[in-house]
Amino acid sequence: MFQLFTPIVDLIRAILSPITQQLLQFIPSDWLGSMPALTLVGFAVIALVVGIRWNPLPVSFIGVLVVTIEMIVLDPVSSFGGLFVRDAFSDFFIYIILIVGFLVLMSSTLHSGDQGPYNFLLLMSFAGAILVVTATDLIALFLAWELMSTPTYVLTALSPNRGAVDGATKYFVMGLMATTLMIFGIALVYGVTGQTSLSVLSSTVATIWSSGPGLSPAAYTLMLAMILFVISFGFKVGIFPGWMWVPDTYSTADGSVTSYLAGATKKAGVSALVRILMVAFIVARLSWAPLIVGVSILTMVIGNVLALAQRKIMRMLAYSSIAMMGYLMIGLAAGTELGVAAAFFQAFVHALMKTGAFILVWTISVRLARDVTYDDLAGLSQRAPLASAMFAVLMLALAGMPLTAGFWSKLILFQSAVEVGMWWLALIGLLNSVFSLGYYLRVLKYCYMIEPKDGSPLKLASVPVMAVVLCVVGVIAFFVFPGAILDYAIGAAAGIVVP
Amino acid sequence: MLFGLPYYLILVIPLAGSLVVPLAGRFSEKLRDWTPALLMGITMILCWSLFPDIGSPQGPTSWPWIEALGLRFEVLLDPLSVIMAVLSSTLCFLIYVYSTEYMAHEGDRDRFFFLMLAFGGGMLTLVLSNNLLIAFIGWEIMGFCSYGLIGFWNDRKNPPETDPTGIESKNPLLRFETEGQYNTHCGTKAFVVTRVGDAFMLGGILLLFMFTGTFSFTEMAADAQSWWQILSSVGLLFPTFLLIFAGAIGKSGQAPLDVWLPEAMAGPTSVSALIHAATMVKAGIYITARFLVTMASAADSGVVPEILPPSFDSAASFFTVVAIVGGVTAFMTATMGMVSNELKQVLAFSTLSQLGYMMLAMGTGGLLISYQEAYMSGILHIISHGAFKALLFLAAGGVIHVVHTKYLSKMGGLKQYMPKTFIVMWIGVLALSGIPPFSGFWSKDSIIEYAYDLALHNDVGIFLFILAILAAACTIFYSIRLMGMAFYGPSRGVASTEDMSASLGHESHGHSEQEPHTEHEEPHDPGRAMMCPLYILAAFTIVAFAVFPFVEAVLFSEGPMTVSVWTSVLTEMVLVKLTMPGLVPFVFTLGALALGGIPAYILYIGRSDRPNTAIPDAGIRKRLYGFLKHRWYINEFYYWIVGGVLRFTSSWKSKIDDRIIDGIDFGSARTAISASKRIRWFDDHIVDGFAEEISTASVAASESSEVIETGRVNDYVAVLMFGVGVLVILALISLGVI
Repeated sequence: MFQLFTPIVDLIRAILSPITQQLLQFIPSDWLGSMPALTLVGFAVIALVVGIRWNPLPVSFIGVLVVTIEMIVLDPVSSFGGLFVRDAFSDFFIYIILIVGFLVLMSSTLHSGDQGPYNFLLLMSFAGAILVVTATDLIALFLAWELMSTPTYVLTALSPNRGAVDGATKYFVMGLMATTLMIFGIALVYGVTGQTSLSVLSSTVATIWSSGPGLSPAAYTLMLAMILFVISFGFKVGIFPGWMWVPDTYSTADGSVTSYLAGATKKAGVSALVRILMVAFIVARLSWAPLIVGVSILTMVIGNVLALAQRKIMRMLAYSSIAMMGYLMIGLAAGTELGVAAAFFQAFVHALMKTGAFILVWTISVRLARDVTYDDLAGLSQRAPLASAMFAVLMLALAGMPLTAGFWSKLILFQSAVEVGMWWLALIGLLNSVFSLGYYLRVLKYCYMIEPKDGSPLKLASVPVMAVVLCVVGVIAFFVFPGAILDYAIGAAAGIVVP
Repeated sequence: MLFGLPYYLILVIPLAGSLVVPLAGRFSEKLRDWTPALLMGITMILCWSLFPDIGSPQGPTSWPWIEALGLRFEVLLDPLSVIMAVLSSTLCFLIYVYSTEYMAHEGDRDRFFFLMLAFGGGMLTLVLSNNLLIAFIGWEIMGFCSYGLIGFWNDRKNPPETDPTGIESKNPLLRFETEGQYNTHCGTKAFVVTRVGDAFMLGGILLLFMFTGTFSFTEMAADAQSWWQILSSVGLLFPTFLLIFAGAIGKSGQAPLDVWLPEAMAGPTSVSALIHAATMVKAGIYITARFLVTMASAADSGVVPEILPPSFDSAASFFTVVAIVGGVTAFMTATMGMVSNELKQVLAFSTLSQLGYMMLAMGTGGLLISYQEAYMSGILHIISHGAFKALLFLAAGGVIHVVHTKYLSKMGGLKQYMPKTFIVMWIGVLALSGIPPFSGFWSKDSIIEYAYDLALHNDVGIFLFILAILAAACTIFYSIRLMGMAFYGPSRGVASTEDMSASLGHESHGHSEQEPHTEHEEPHDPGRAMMCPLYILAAFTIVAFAVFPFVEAVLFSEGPMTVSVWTSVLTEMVLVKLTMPGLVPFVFTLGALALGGIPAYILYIGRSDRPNTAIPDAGIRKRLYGFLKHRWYINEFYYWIVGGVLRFTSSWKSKIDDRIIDGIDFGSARTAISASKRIRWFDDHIVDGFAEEISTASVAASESSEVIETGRVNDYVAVLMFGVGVLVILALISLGVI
């Protein structure tokens, strides 16, 4: 599993092994797999208490670092009687969440990072997201999902933006709607099979499907449940038909929260979808593949067409991330090991690209004290050369140009579709990616080719800019060494896809 | 050989070196300007030293990139790629040297030289990579650099110079307030149009990979038989190659994606030369040639009849498409060139037309029994075209540099002011129109010769042969017209220099700011760094025929070249034109040259005292002129589509987002108002004021939700439920119920 980073991991483990041995005696072995999430909850409470007097942001940073170390030194095991399982698949997503979490904390130095409640809610949501990706039971998944989502409703409302409450309300109402549908789906599944554990469910589904999908009424009920799952989990991912809140919420929320929503909770939703589709319902693949294909095409087209019409950068990025998730669905539609690995790789690369882009726009937005539109970007190359260059790289990465990791992630997705004979789907994706140049290039045009109205240098806060630099370096480095991540993604996919 | 150095240095030096350019700019302006020329010079030497290595194995340089996909980075050393690498690196080197003087007065040269060097690196990556996917990366690097370079002069504030003979466009997409906007638009257009082709190409590459299981050219060639048959048995052979060919169409500006190249003239001249002569547009030809070689390598000769009988139809139809696209492009764009009024645009159309010839050669090669001769004529044309087109562009750049306009009708009589430029330009133009013994003649005439050969076997061949002959006639017409309008006739350029510079023409902006005194000087030949590359290129254009036997020897690995072999090849080259059956196409060509050349001479040079801007003003000739001036309406057709798409997206936003969804909401508000009014009317006397409160409250509620953006929560939920319905229907279809 640990291919490239094995020496580092071994070193850290070796250094810390005495402490680990001591500490392990105090921890019930059944909790071990969920220790990262539990630790985060602990740090959330500490941050809340510290926040009464002091700035709690360092506590949050320490919390995320401690959890990362825990992830490295603790063996991946299951916990709480197998409700939550750490395996290659969930580890991949936990690391995405932790990386995004760290970047989000860096960006939080801009605004409201010094408040206790903000840190508390953020860390609780991190914990929830980690639990979502480890959950292997529908009930556990539901609980974790709520733990992840509920703090974000409040966080979006905490934004300094005037429209924040409006965006948060939309998010909240839509989120409730999605949760209701999810409960309904779980109830249907439980009613038909009497199971909530995903792995047990898969064998039940296999027996039901073995008699042919057109015969048994149970199959129809399960299909309905699956549609409800696709909608309710897809709501967080921002795919058809639950995409509409995304631009409103992303553009009005605190930019740090936006980048968390786009970078991490989206990915948690992807992992939940993958668990349900690829573990529980893998036998029914031929039945749900057309569904995912439809969702994928609609999502790509909607995202790309509407992104073209936007004036505010945040909204444009929100629509573009909708389109990105449409591409990601291609991998799930392919349903092969390569397809799922491609989806994971896209999830990782998208986390880097979008987190960086949102943090950058938010930094500019805070500096200018208004929503950033295209006109505000005019002449950015003269006012803030570094920010402008990074913006250009991130946009090219989103457009899938070579010399950025975005090229590989799209390429492998399309390839996975071609491999299973869905070359028309790949072609639709490709044409969409050409179409998307229309709005990505517009950013470049404004940054580099339009004279600014006010040519004074734009000094941006340094810590968030550092976070963006990390993203940009990652985006370029993983073009040169895509194997560093792709190997893990393939390992994660191999663990979950039963050939 | 590479002097014992690793092969990948050839790609790494320009690509990594491009990043050094801005750094060098921190120390010294001069160092920065010469860095690309220097690095490309080194690369050029390395490329030349590759000749002895052709065909050698690539073991140690193979570097696994993505193991999971079996993607390895390897350098491909076969005759085609080495010739292309040598050609590109040499021309790039000359163009970079030229740029040091040409761009000396421009701002932001960091960006310029960075993009220029990366561009060259991209081309070398493309031609030297043994991996289709990595070649594609080089392909995309060029696409992006072309975007930056064509739109380089984006900061021009002056209104765009209007074509005195031009046609006003009604499309709002084509109205520009400043020169800078126009340039940006041209760059974007080039990028997006070629990206359309690229998207198809990537699809084709993936499809091909699915059946071959490899991206490597050599491995593909090794078991061409097996994947070929599988592909053709599932009927995907033709679609796959068409998709890949779409990329070549886009990059090489073949019909119908030829629209970006004429606008690509907005960039500095050295960029045009780079795009046209050395890199970018040759990429499409290269890929087509590469597939021709790969397919043919499965057997000794001939793609179609002998080796692969089961898939005869697919292979033949693919190469028929290639040949037709080439032939049609050659003719169509040549006719457009006959009426263009922009110096560089005429050259751009001539590039398109010559690229069409090359494509025609590749297609013919695939259709003939023996592919080698036609293929070789195409490669020779790439080489000769590279040299004379670089020559023409660089010389044209010198002209525009001094007369401050890009329009031919504002030039004239430059002969006495720029004698050196005048001479090299004539050499280039004669080569372009295919007058013996200049380079263009040998290559172009042999392409026509093989088209004739094809015509003897095939009905399509007759059509292609006629197109090729007509294109040759058009070529000499616009070549002479170009010379006549620019260099002969009354010297209008000097007489009106004052008002030209007052209107601040195309190339004069940055120049005039820093050296205002040059504006009022007479036009003169450019300086040494600009002229030296011109002399080298002109010399090559004249003696190219002596080089061609060497190319042939390299191309077919014919062993060491001796004097006797060399003379015999040369004699054969000449004799083949003078004996049957080569005599027939040769006579046709001569006829075409006379057909195009004599009227052009009479019109534009013979009556040189007459204004050179004559436009037919009546009858069929006027209509034809309009048709050509509109570039066969293809360009406008695309703009019409793009405009339509843009209108659609904004109307989607305004109709669905604003009107329908708002409409629902306003509707509900109106209903609330009217309902509450009725309630009030009904209840006015019973519950006084109570209903009024309800109505104001509901109105206020719906108004408050209207404040922010477009979305309304209730509509979102409605759309979500609608989506549930769509998915249920989809699921029922997939379960086979509906």
